[in-house]
Amino acid sequence: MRVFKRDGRKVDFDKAKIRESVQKAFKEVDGEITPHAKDKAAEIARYVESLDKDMDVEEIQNIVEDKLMASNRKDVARAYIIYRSTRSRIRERNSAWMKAIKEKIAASNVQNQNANVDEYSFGGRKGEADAELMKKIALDDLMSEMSRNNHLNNEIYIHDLDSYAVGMHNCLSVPFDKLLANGFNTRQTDVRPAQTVNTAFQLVAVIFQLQSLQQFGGVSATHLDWTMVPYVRKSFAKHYKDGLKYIAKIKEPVWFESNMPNLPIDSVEYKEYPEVLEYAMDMTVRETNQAAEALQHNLNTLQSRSGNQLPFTSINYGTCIQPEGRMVTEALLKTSLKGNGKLHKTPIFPCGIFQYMKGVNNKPGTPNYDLYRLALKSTAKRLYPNYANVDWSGNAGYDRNDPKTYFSTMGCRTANGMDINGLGQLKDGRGNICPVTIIMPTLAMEATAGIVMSKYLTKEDCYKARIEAFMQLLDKKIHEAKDMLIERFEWICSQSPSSAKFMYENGTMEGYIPEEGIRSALKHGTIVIGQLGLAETLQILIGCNHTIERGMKLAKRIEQLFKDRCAEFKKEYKLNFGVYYTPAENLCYTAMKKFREKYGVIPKVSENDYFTNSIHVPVWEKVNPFEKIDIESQLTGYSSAGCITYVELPDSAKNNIDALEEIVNYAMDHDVPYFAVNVPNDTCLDCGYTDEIGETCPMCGSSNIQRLRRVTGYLTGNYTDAFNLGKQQEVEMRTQHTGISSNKLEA
Amino acid sequence: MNYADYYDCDICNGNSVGMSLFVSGCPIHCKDCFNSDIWDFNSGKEWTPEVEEKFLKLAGRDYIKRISFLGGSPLCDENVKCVSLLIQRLRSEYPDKQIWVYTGYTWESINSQVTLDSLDYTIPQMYRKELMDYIDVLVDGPFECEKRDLSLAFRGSSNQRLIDVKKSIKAGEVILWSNES
Repeated sequence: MRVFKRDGRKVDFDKAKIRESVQKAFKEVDGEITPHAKDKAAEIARYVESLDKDMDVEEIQNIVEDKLMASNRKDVARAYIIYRSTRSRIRERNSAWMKAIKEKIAASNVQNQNANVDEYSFGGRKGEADAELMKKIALDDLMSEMSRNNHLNNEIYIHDLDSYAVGMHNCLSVPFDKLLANGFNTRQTDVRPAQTVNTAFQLVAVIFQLQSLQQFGGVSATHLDWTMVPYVRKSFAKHYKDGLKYIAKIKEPVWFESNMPNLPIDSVEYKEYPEVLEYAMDMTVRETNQAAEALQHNLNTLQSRSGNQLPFTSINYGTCIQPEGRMVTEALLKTSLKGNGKLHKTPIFPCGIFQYMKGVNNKPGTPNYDLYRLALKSTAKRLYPNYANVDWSGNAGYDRNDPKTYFSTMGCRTANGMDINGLGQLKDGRGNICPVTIIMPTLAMEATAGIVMSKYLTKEDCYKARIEAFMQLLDKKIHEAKDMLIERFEWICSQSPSSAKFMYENGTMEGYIPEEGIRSALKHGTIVIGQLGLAETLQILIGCNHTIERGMKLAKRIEQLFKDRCAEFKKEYKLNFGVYYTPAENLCYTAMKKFREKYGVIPKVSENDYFTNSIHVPVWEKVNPFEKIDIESQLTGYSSAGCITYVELPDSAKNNIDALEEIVNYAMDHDVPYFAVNVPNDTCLDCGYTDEIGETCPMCGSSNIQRLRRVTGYLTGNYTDAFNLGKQQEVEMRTQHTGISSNKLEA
Repeated sequence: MNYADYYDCDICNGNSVGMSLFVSGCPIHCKDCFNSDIWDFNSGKEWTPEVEEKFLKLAGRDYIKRISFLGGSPLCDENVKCVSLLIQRLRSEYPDKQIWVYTGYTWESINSQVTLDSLDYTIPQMYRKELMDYIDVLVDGPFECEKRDLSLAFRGSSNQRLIDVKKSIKAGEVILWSNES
């Protein structure tokens, strides 16, 4: 007698298995296995055996069920049936999960969750399949029911769930000053300190690469112009030495040997031989330009991680007024302007961030104003750099003499604020440890269910009731978000430092004390409560968004609650809780999908395929850049852990750098911490023409057009291939904020 | 006068950030004109005193550094008086804002001395010439589609010039505008 298993295997009939399953049902009801239960189990098993024919598992279970139902122990029969159906539910769940894995392996249902991952590549397929397993383990085994429910119910989203199980952290600003000066260890070798600017730039690419493998998010350099000063000097000294030998035909002077590495390039000592000086200067500029170009090339080609991703790299610069630092900033900007490859395509990485600083580069007459103008030119053509506001009020307490404390960002927007654990405004060696995002529209729907106009005398009364209900639920969820973050933070802290040797051995994460465990470093990072869909939330609650005053008033109340709670948590738990205006690249789409499944299509709330990011003005609102800045700058101050403000300009911005400057200045003057400008960036892949291009290239007629757009602070490849459907729609709905017909003369 | 469109914030039709007013009606009818649907002088909406007050108020915003007049044709006989008076008001209220005017006439034709036949000296011509004392940049000449060039700043075809009006008057010859001052 044989039994057919569900997986198709054929095995010998085993009476004991039937006995056990029946006894289990009895135990479930009686709490123990009574002699009667044993008898009954044996009786049923014998009966099945007596049939003496090949059967499948389901058939056998049906017989057992019938026998129990026919007995006087209907309660045990019920237990057996429940057990059977639970098992079959688990099997179904597992098979849905297996289906998802198989889809990932076959790349048959590509959603473009992360525009940087090529889900069709071998690496992408493998990585995405792995991710399904990792997510399941995280949800099933590693988190509390509260966390899981919040995530699954579309209320509080846990980001990068696939990296949860192994306990990775998110992102890091790399302390390049230290690593370049000291050298570093890798698994296979060690690297000596850099001795030229060329080498230093190469090592920056290498370090970015290595660090990005120890974490799941981005990596940044917070002040690369300052970082490179010593290496420009070293290169200059070498070229000068060559010049002495081959041009001046003299042995190097005594002062040279002893001071060579550290002398500024404009030192009086170098002025003795003007021809040598000129030679050394030219060679150093050339070397620096080539080094910057090589860096850009490396960061756009060296793929890592599964999915053939490029590391998410960001480089902040622009404040160093020493000639060496200026040379570096200029080289980075020129390289950005020049573009990549044969057609000079717009580079995807690094995300350049120009650090705008009063008295340094902000207006004519300041030492780096020329570099600011160059930056604007690059922005108009290449979308990068973005602008970080060094004077942002939220970065108060920074040290003007220490560029490591200047406001800088991870390209997406993430920023390191004041450290509660002693590192002050230091940016280097710190990063975001993990984020969650509160999906506010879901909360608004849940809180206001049943609060309908007809129950109230006036609209205002109804709005008031809705607002109070929402604020109460939001407060509860902010507390739960905090608990979710602590849960994950503790899990991350419980990992062994050997999981991220490069990071801990070389101290790329600041503050690590081996005896104290990795928590000693992680505690300096930020853990952040993000948010999605303020505009839609306001719409649900009071029928308008924050482009009008009534909406703005409520928006401020909501953001104040986030801010207050994060400040309290920071104090109480001695962890850097912060308010985060989440990028939500994928979440804006998936959260909307789930939202619509539950609540349907609601006008101005769920008509589109995406939620509006964080506190942003919806992309379709016809506001001019200044009005947009006026609105968003009222809310950016509530965010301590990162936000970004965008405006959309036409491609002709490249002919109007004065206008661009005025807009960036306006944003900075309005205390916007991080500002970016979007211009259409279409490139004809046949002739290289770059502009806003319609169906076909106006130069050569080709329809082979790459359309580059920004998502979450970064650029990606062609948006129609790389973005998820929600983001694609969002891009298409973006209104340019200038050159639009206005009815203001009529109103 | 009628106006066809108003851009509240514009960076394409003139340097820095400005407002752009497209007046209705144009007698020139360039081939492939980007705005041919407003050639009709009756298209668009009426330029009333109320509209003008709003316009002047909007022009006062700090971030507006420039006001551009386009069309249609702001300097054609039918429109030039109204445009001219408006520009004079703008000039007196906001002396620091740049005023740009797009026209199908050439600089030479506007500034030519009336020598051939004094009967040709019309009032609109007088307005056009006088207006040069109030504006900063004149983008002159008709759009010539065979000279269309997408890479040009602030204009459509390469025959059109961005003329620095003040410098040109002073020098007695055309001096092109440049923002590298």
